[in-house]
Amino acid sequence: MRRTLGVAVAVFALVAAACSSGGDSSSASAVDTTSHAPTTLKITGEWTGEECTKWQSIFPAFEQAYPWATVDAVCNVNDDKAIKQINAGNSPDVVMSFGVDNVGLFCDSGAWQDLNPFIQGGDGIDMSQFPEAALTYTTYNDEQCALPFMTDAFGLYYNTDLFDAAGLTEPPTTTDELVDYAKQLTTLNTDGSIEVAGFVPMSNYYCCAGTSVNMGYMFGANWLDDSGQAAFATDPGWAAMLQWQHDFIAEVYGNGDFQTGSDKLTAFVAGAGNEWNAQQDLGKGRVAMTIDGEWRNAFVPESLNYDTAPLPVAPGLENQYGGGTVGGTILALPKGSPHEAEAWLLLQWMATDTATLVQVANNINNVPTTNDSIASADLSLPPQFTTFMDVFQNPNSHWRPNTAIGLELATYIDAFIQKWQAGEAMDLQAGLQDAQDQTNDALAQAQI
Amino acid sequence: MLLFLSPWIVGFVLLTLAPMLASLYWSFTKYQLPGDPKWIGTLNYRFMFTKDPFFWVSVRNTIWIIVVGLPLRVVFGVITALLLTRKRRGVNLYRTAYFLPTMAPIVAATLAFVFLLNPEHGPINALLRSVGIDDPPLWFFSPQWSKPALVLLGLWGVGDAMIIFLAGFLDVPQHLYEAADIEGAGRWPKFLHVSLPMVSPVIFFEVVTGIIFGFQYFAQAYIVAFNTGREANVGDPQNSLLFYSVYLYRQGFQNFKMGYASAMAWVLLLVSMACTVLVLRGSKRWVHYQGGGFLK
Repeated sequence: MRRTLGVAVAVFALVAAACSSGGDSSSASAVDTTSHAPTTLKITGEWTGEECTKWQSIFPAFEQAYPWATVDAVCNVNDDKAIKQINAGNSPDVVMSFGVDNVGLFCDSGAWQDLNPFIQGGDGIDMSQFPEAALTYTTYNDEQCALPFMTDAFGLYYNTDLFDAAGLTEPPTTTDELVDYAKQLTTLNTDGSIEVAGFVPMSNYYCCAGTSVNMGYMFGANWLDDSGQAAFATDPGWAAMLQWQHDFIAEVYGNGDFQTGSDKLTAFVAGAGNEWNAQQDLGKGRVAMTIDGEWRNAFVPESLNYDTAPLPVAPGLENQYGGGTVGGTILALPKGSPHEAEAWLLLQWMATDTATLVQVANNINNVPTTNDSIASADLSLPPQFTTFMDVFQNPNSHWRPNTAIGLELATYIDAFIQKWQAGEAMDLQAGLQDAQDQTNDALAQAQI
Repeated sequence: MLLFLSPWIVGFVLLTLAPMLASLYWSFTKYQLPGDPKWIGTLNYRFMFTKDPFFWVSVRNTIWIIVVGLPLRVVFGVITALLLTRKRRGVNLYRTAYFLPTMAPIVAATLAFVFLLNPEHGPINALLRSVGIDDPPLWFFSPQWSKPALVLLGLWGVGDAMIIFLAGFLDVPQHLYEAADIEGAGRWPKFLHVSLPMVSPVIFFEVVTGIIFGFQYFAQAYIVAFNTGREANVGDPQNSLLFYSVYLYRQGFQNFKMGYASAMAWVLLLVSMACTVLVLRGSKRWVHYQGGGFLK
């Protein structure tokens, strides 16, 4: 007999109720009081498979530096699982998270501790060793709730063979150029469908191509206004961005007709190759230019001739060219961390040890997160990777702002963008206003 | 007596009643994991009904899958069962073949359909193109076709309903058909006035469990979203697969709003109960019990 979901939720509720002792975070005054007694530090992380193994291989160096410590690194623990552990009073010592959007959420709820007392304590660290961009996604309301440990940076990948064939020598730097380039690089099949897309500005094309966070950067669109309210309708960047997307689709793929272009692109996106191997469209030559993270370098086939560049920006925002969106893996000290002082040593070692950061960057192809590691001569990354390290160090780079609603900040605008790009929403300003109002409702509810 | 009942009582109190009461309390709180619940009265419910746009999207999607998917499942199950009641060579093979999909794990079955219905590379669209349909559906990539694609998946796995309908049809007393024959009834009248009333309790069971299952519809939509889009956008394309339980999951385990998710769970429970009661009451008009129904 099937049970109702209500009962299932209730069963969960009991387990949570029985285990919700949590555990208060103790005072940060413990930073100087490591006893050096044999201690096993448990750290959870989200990497799986081969990346997990590579990540786990860094800890013998920590154990060598701190012979009294043993590290138990557990893989495949996402934020959902980690929060359950914290709520059950079974916190790991350190949490490594991919949930850059959850910093505000977990900081606000107290799931992650403010690291400032540790940073300023006896075993503290110099925060100037991190590029400024790293602080945009690890802080919330002046609380430093996480430290960066490798990051993702986003840029433009382009197929140089296709560029050469089209007589293009440099990557586009403005969104106007992006339209022109895309038109030149796009080829159609005999039935009118897209054979090679110059550029796909759809928000559901892989992880990152036309997402609100990346396109928002390109148009200088602010997520929040000065009072902390959503700014989708009030900041002209959003309307400019979506109007550009609309015109792009009509001009490049629809021969002037938006719906034709949108339908073609929807079919094209549906046929996209696997994102996590060489079958991804860039690797197959199915798309000429695309926005992606630095990790794409590790997936492109050796036969592909390609290069990378920062995100193009809208006319008038040329001074922002070179920057981009950045935000990636982070380290946090969870509420109820059993060995706070020792956990801090592990956390700050991971965040700042140059050799470790270089090792992980070389092995996993993520951007190392301190100035020293970025400048290290020991980095052995492809030349195309340099773009992403430059983007990370650019003072204009940032992620979307941290708020108490986490990823929900993007939920309503993303829902509208999906309708807009499919031609199912025609009133741009009304849609932006709705998304703004809905986001503000969510923000208000979080403040109760 | 109490001693023998105690394992069930303890299990019921600890694993059902207490959690239900806890979640009822949390539904009136702001409970952002892992913080402590904070009493906010009926705010979660008011927000749900008046300000949350996705709540109503999820309600509409859920009603669609029940109103469209369930009748098709019943009709398809009844027709299949009816065809398999006839004695003919290899009937057991056919029965096994129709039931086999039910044995497939839901994840594997859904992934198989994601592959089969891939608009560009899937064999279904290749077949459609080969018969002259140049613009076949985009299935899980289209908000118009995503739910029908899930209905297809449900019909493929209709064997569990088919098997109980089959048992019901085979259990119809032969003397009723003989009496109908004497009265000169043809195939259709016999089906309409003998077979169908006799299996109506089985159909009723399928309808009630189908409604409850429809309200809980989750796994297939979740798996489809994971394999055709981005994890953050579970419910895609364009929230067309944002069923009630999927949205409840999103609120509870992606946004970590356990108080709000508890309120949603209680609304789900109450609506499921109300629908079940309505169907129960309506069943007096169309469900025929050989023994006369409930004891008076």
